[in-house]
Amino acid sequence: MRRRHWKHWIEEYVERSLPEERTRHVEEHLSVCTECREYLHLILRTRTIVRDARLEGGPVPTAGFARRVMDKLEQQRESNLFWRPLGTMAMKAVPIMAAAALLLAILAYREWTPQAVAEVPPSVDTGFLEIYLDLPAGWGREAAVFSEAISQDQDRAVESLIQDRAPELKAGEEGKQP
Amino acid sequence: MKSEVVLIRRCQDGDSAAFEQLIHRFERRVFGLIYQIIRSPNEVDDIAQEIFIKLYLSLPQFRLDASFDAWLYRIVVNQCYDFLRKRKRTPQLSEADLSEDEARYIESLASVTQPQAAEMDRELEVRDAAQNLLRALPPKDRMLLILKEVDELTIEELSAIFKTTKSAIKLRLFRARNRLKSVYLRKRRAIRK
Repeated sequence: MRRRHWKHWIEEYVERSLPEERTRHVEEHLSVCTECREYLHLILRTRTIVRDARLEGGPVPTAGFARRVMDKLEQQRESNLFWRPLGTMAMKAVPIMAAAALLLAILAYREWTPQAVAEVPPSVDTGFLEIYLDLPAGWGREAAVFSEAISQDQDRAVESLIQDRAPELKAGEEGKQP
Repeated sequence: MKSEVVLIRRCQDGDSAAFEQLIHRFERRVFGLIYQIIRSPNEVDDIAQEIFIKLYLSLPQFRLDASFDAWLYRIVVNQCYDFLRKRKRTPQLSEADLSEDEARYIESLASVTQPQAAEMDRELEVRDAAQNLLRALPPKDRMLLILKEVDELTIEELSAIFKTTKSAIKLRLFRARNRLKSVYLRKRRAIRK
């Protein structure tokens, strides 16, 4: 067995908590191993110092000590009667407030997202994009506004535009016809 | 032991009188241990009050099949450690503060090499010198050595108090003892200069 392993048992050997057989093994080992013997002496020497340093005649609890602790506990309990419900309420309010904040964020997002594209069927003919690009010159600004929406969801943006401008487009097409 | 369990169960049920009894039962031991660790008599009462309040608040979590002593010791050790950390008063030994008594003590220790020599004279100056050696250790080491050698707790009990393995406790003891040895050797060198 390795030496380190024996060192492992020396604390328990000193406190006499080892089984008899192991105690005998440790003693046999100590008789041949200088390093472990030195460790045993270190334990005994430091024990001497610590025990010599033991303080005598320290303070003892006064007669009213237990009563003082009970009074302090009572004060804490009274203070808790006021503050704890507030704390509990605050803790309960946290999930509600988080849910409310999330709801507000969703509403705000919906509010500031172009609503023109909201009610459009998901799939439309992208050929309408060409029609959109052929719009008269005055519609350029509106095109810029929609460009972001187009980049996000081309089909829906174009469909929305077509629906909004359907009468004008129809009139334009009729005008082109001979 | 059985009466202790009954008392604790009554405390857990909110019986204040039972807790007052529990305080009476353990107050002396708690005072003694705090004093050994912090070594400042004026602070003992306040720290003990905090310990018993923490004990009261933590009792609902205490399992009746666990060791109450280890539970209480853990609270004491943590509270004392908090106090020592706040106070930050861990003076390092300087060779200049050696008194003649300390020098004599340290010289006498040098001859202690056999177990039977552990029984030494308990003169006041011996204690002061030993206390100076012990005071030079970090609070955690000091607490561990006091619990081991003054309160005579076993490795198993220490592992329950510090919530760690027996091997870890042995290692910590090994390091603490070696630190104490270093302080002692430093002082001894200073004497011989």
